[in-house]
Amino acid sequence: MHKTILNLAWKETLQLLRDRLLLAFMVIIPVVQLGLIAEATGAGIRNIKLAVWDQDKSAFSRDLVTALKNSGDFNLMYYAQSYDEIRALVNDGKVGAAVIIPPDFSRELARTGASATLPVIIDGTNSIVASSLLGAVESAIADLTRQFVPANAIITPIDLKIEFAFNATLNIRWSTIVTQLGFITYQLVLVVAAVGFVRERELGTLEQLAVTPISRLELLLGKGLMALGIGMLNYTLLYLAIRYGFEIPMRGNLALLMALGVLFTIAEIGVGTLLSIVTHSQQQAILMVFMLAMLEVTFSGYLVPTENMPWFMQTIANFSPLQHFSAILRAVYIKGSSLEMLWHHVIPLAALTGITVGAGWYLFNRAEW
Amino acid sequence: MTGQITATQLSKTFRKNQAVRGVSFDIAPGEIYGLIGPDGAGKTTTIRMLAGVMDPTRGTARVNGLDTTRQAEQLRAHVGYMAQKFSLYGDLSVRENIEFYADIFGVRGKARAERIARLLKFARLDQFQDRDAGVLSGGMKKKLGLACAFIHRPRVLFLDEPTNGVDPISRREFWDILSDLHIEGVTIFISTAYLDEAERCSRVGLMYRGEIIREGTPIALRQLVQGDLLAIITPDLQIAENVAQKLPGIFEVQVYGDRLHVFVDAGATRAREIEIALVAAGATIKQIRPAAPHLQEAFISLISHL
Ligand SMILES: Nc1ncnc2c1ncn2[C@@H]1O[C@H](COP(=O)(O)OP(=O)(O)OP(=O)(O)O)[C@@H](O)[C@H]1O
Ligand SMILES: [Mg+2]
Repeated sequence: MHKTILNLAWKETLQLLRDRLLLAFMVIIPVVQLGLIAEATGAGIRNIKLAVWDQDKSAFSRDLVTALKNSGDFNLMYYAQSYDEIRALVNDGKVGAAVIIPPDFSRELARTGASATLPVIIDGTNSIVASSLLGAVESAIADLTRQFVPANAIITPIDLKIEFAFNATLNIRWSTIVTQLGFITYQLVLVVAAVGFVRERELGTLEQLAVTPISRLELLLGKGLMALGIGMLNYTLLYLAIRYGFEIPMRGNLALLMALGVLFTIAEIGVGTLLSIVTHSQQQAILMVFMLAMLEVTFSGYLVPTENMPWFMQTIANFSPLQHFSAILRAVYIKGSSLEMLWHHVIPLAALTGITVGAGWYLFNRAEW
Repeated sequence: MTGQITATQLSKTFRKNQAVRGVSFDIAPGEIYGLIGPDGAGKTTTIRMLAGVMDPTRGTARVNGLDTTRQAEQLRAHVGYMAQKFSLYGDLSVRENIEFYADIFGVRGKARAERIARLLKFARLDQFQDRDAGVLSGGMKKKLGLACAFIHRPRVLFLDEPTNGVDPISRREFWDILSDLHIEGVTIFISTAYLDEAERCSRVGLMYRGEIIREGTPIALRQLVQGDLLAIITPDLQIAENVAQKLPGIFEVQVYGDRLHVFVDAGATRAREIEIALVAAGATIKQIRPAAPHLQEAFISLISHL
C-alpha cells in the first residue's frame, strides 16, 4: 500500500516540476514578498514626523533633539508642552513618533552606574510602518549614545521606553517578517492541495484512477504527501532565509517550530483538499483560495491585532488555522515560547487539522469519480 | 450465466432521470461487443457501472465472475477501462504515463520493463516514448490510452467511444490493435458512434433511451430492416424525397449526401414505379439500384419505427 502512495506522490512531483506557473508561484512570490516586506520594514521610510516634549531643557537635551533632527530620518514638527498634547498629536496621526525627555534626563545620564529612561510613543496603527519607525528611533538614539558618552567612561545606555499607541502588542519588524513564514507556506500549500483533485477531475484522469487498484485513501495520502513535502521544503527554506538572510534570531525550540509547521501544513492540506472536492474547475478552486486567504489574513492579526478586534471577529478568528499559526510563530520564534505556553493555540490548531482532514476524507469518499 | 460479462436488469437513475433502464446481456469470453446508440442513450453510464466506477441503482453485473459492486476492489486487476473523457497526463512523457500506470497496477520487477517495451511497440509508440503526451496527435493519444489501460493485461477491456474524433486512418490502426487483442483472447466491450466500427464487432447492442432495443450480430441486425433497399442517385434530392415519401409500398426514405435510400416492400416492382413518378415530377435520375443495407441504415430505420 505505501508503495502505491509513493508512486502517486512521485508522479505528482514530476508534474509539479513541469508546471512552470506553479513553480514560479513557489519561487517568485516568496522572494518578492519577503523582499518587499524587508524593504517596507527596513530603513525605507524617511521624514518621519516627530514631536518632542523637552522637560529637561538642558544643553544635553537640546543636543539630543538637534541630533534627531539631523539624523535625516525625522522631520521635527512640534515642540509639545504636555503629555496630553503629545498623546493628541500621535492619536490624530499628526506625528508618527513622539519623544518625551524627562525633567532629570541629563542628570540621570551623567550619574555613573544608572541608566536614563527615554519614553518614546510610536503610532502603531500599521505594524509595518510602526516597526520601521521603531527601527529609525532606535538607530538614532544608538548613534547619539555613541556621540555623547565619552568612550572611556562607563557607558550608561539610554533606556528606550517604547509605547505603541493603538497597538498593544509589540509588532516589530521581526514579527512581521516571521509571520511571512506562515503566510507564504499557507498560500503555497493551499494552492497545491486545492488544485490536486479538481485538476484530475477536469482532465478526466480521476475516472481513470478509479479503475486502478489505488484506493481512495491512498489517493488522498499520495496527494497529501506531495503537498506536505512541498510545503515543508518551502517552510524550511524560508526559515533559513529569515534566520540567516535577515538575521532574525530564533529564540525558541527549532524542533517545536518544525513540528508545529507540519501540523499547520496538514491543516491547510485538509482545507485545500476540501476546496478541491467541492469545486468543479481549477479556476473555481483558485478563486476560493484567494477569497479564503483574504479573510484569513485579515483575521490573522497581521494588520490589526486579533486582541483588538470586536468579539465576533475574534470568534471567527478562532476558526482560522492561519490565525493560530501566526500567533504560534511569533511566540516561538521571537519570544521563545515553549509548548506549555502555547496550548491555547496548539489545541485549536490540532482540532482544526482533525476537522479539515476528516471532512476532506468524508466528502472524498462520497464524491463521484 | 457463465459469460465473461453479464448484466441483469442493470439500471441507473440520476435524480429523476432514468439513464439506464433494466439492461441485461451475457457476453462470452473473447467476444467484441459493440454498444451503439445516439447521444445520451446511456452507453457511458452502462460502461461505468460495468467497470465498477459507479454503482447501479438497481440490478447487478458480474465481470470475470466478480460482482461489480461488492467485489469492485478485486475486479480492478482484471479489467481495463478507457473512459470517454479519457485523458493522459499531458505534462508527462509517453513513457512516464505508462510507467505510472505500471506502478500503480503493481507491475514490477523484470516484467515491468519488458511489458512496457512490448506495449509501446504494440501501440506503435516506441519512437515517441520521450514526447510529452500533451503534444501527441489525437490518434496517438488514444493508442497510448489503450496501452495504459492494458498495462496489467486484463482479461476484459471496456472502451467508451475510444475513437471519437480520430481520423479514419488512425481509427483503422486502433482497430488493428483491438484485433490483435481479440486474437489474444481479450474480451472487449466497446461503445462507438461509428457504425462501420460496429460492423467489426462480434455482437452489437443497439441502445436507445436507456434500453437495449436490439441485440445480435451485425449481419442479423442488418436483416432486421423491413423490405428491400433502393439507392437513388439524383441532383434533385429535395423533390425526390418529397415524391418518394408519398408513393405506395414505401417504408422509409433516408437522405445520404447525394443519394436517397428508400426502403420498399418489393425492390424490383417499386424501382420502376419510383423512377416513373420522379421523372414525372421533373427530377433527373442518374442511377437507381438495389443496395445492401449497412448497419447505419438499419439502425436509423429501427429507431425511427419505435
Ligand atoms: N453523473 C451524472 N449525473 C447526472 N446525470 C447524468 C450523469 N451521467 C449521465 N447522466 C445523464 O444520463 C443520460 C445518459 O448519459 P450517458 O452519458 O450514459 O449517455 P451516452 O450514451 O454515453 O451519450 P454520449 O454519446 O453523449 O456519450 C443523459 O441524459 C445524461 O445527461
Ligand atoms: Mg457517452
